[in-house]
Amino acid sequence: MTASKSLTFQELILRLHEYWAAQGCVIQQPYDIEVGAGTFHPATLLRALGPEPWRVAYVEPSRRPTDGRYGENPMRTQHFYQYQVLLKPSPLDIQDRYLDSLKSFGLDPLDHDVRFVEDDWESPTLGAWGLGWQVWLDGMEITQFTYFQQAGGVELAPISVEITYGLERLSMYLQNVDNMFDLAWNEHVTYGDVHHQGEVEHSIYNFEQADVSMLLTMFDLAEAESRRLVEKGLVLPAYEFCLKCSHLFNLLDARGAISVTERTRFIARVRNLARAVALAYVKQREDLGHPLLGRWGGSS
Amino acid sequence: MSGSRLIVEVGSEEIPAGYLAPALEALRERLAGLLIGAPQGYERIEVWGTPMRLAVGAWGLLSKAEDEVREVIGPPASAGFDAEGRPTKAALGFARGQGVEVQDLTRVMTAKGEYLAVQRTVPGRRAMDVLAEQLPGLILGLPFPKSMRWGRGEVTFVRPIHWVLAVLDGEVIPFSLGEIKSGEVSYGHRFLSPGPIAIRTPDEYEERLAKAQVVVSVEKRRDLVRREVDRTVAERQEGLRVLPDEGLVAEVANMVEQPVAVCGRFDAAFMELPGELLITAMREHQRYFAVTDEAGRLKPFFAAVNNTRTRDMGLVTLGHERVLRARLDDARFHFSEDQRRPLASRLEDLKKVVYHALLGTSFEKVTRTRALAGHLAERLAPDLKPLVLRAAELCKCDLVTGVVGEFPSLQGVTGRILAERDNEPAEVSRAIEEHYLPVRAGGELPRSPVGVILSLADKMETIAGCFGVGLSPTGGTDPYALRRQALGVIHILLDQGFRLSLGGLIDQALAGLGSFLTRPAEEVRAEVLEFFRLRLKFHLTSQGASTDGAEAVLSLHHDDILAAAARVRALEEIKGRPDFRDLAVAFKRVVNIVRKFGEQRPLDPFALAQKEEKDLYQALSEAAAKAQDQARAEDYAGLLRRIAALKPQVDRFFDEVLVDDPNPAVKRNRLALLTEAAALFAEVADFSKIST
Repeated sequence: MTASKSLTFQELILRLHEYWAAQGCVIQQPYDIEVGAGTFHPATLLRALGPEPWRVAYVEPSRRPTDGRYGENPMRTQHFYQYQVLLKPSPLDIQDRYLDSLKSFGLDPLDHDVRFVEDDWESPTLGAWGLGWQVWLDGMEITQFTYFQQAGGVELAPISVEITYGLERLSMYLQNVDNMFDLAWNEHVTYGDVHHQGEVEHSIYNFEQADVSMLLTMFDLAEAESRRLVEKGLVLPAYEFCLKCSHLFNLLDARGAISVTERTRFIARVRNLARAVALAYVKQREDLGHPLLGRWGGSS
Repeated sequence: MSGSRLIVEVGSEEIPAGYLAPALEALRERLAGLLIGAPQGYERIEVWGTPMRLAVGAWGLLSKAEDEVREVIGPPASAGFDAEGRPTKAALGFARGQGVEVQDLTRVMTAKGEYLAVQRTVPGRRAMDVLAEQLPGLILGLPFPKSMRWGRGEVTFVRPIHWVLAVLDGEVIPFSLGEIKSGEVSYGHRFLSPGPIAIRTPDEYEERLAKAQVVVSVEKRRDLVRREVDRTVAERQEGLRVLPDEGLVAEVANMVEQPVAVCGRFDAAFMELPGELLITAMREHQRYFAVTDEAGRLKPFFAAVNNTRTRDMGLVTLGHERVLRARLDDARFHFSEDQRRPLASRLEDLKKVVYHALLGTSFEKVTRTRALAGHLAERLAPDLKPLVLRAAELCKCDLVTGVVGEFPSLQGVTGRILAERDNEPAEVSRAIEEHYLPVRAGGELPRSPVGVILSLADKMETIAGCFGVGLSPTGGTDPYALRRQALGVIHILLDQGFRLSLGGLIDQALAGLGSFLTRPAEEVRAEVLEFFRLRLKFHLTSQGASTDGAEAVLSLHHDDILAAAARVRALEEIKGRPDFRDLAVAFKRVVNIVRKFGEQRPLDPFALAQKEEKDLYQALSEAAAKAQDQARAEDYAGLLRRIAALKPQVDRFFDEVLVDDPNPAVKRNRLALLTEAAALFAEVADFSKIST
């Protein structure tokens, strides 16, 4: 693992920023609302809709309350980071560009078995799905690679490709550590120094302390607000309340407060919001005259 | 080999391993269909495929199809010329319409007389033109379980297409798939030999790609995978063996272009985990092969198949070992968590699992299965009832364990292991695993009495439940695998020699559904019985019985599956005899007459007057008395022989006796006699269904 061994967690992020910035990506910042994955960021989910081109890369802190392990599991946490890239339309040489990104932090396919292994992706709450792979590096999944086909229940054209790096996994491999809390964030501080206490507290909150009736009330309120806002054409605020619903649902789920039959209904409620927002967004961009058409040297 | 040669290859991003074989088969068939229909014909077609390419070569095509002479028929010759032999308007019009002169018209003889005609030569099409026109549709129409769009989204295929090689006799066949234009170039291994390779003929395809580090033959890659894992494991340590797994060989072979295996090891401390769990964790998450010693005992090693030969395979091995450690850690975590509470305590958890929206929770499903299993146990093995009931309670509890959540294929196995650790009775533990058997058609059957009963109950409950709420399989779709389960029930009943009424079992299962049933029970019962009849027919014909023989038997009744199968066997035996055809014709005649005029009962033997009808009655009475004993003893072959012995009397009856007698009383009585005869035949089969 030679020189790459010393790459710290933050250096890995910087390398990725540098690489994808050079590919013309907008280096955007994490969205400031709790989300389950980088896909939920409007820079991905909404930008994938409609005819305008788009290229973006950002880190997204992702929250999956049910995956909390009180900071005791070396690889599973309720909060982790994804490095998210979206290119629209998907370039034909995207696999090569991705492989080059691995080389940029020292993972050379001539040294490792790098493989694209079938893995289709679907988000029932977002009404989104795509086909693609998980990328294996010597048998370890390091990236999710997806060609979006549908988002918010809307068929997509052109097609976006989404590349999601599991930052902790990748960094653990580069630093040769088996516990993510042992990762060197920089030369002075470990990942555990930054996040371990949060893992413990949030696990307790998610599994034991979250106030179910409050969460249910908040869900109802956020849902109503999203509906109200979308009708007023306030697409982005409406989407934020849709995202709040999604996270509240995840919290309720972790708390074991949702029965199986209710579960499907909750998911459908969030999906309906996402769909309304997606349709409103498509219309809004149309009304704005698709201002991004022609950027990135596109012909249209 | 003479004729034209064709090579086509579609290069794409990684195609899912399971998609490859059906796509290649379709490629072969559709190209063959195209060439035959074109009609260029072909002598040989070969297909090759890897995750990144689908290819087909064809030899012996006509570069240009032969010209075809077509005859166009016009007006009758008599109407074409007048008395002086001058062409009429009809002939002139026909010639003009066909673009020829009148003198070019010929005369042809048809069934309706002599007609005027034109012989036209249609030039045969060039293979190049046919292929350029047809290949795009053929390629883009290949069947994949899921397809996608990319880029601007104009084209749909399994994954983005990168190149198309299409060459006929050294010349590029011009066409486009979206933005991609066909050419004469393929590409080698993504990492080991990434450059372009010119391909001119199908003969050089395999070899050129091999030089570029791609093994294009699926069969050869499988061989190579087997050899590679054997090699790496043997090199690692003497006495180690790869645990054979042909399914994994096939899958792995379609995930790589150049198989290169490495053997790694894992911490022996993991050996405390059940072998099934270790094997499954390696196989399902990582596609690694398990390794044993010469005696077949699992050892802490594994073999991983890579797609490339790197500069240092040792580094790759270390990577695989790290991944596997994390996987096994996870498996150990789940297994130890699962053992923290008794399996039985999870029954309560099943109340939170929806079995099916229309059929309630898994707990409700278990409750119904338990009742049905108890009922079956009373009939088949009353002593075992307590064990059967216990096994039924526990059989689905492992569905809510961490291990099965992670590895669904370990359902049943996990339940058995956890039950063993809870010191449940051995019969109960075994039945938990066995109740899923057979897992595929022709697969291993449950053997233990408790497992057999539970397996029958679980399957019958599932089938009755699904039919009961309208989830019966339609056409090609059978999402709940009901066909497999019905076949499983049949195999188990035949294997065990169980006598029971299928209808009774269905009734019992339907009664257990209670208010879940959304359709009239009578209707569901009839459908399920018919469903079983078709499955049984499928089973018997796949065992060599003739379709009409099976149909003749099963169209009567099949409530007792064992007896129905015995009747089919007996019929098949007698069907092979040389005189059977005549016999069947005679029987059919009887049955047809009875059908035509309707059954008549009772028979008045004293009203029979003619010798032939008295003889038939006499023979029939004697046969019927013995036939009943034979039917009871299930000596269907003997019964059929007894029926066959009636042939002379039946024949003479038809030769000499008129059934449709003017006297209604006589006619009625003769029909009654034939009704008796038909009833006797119906002990075994409906002979009218037999093709003669």
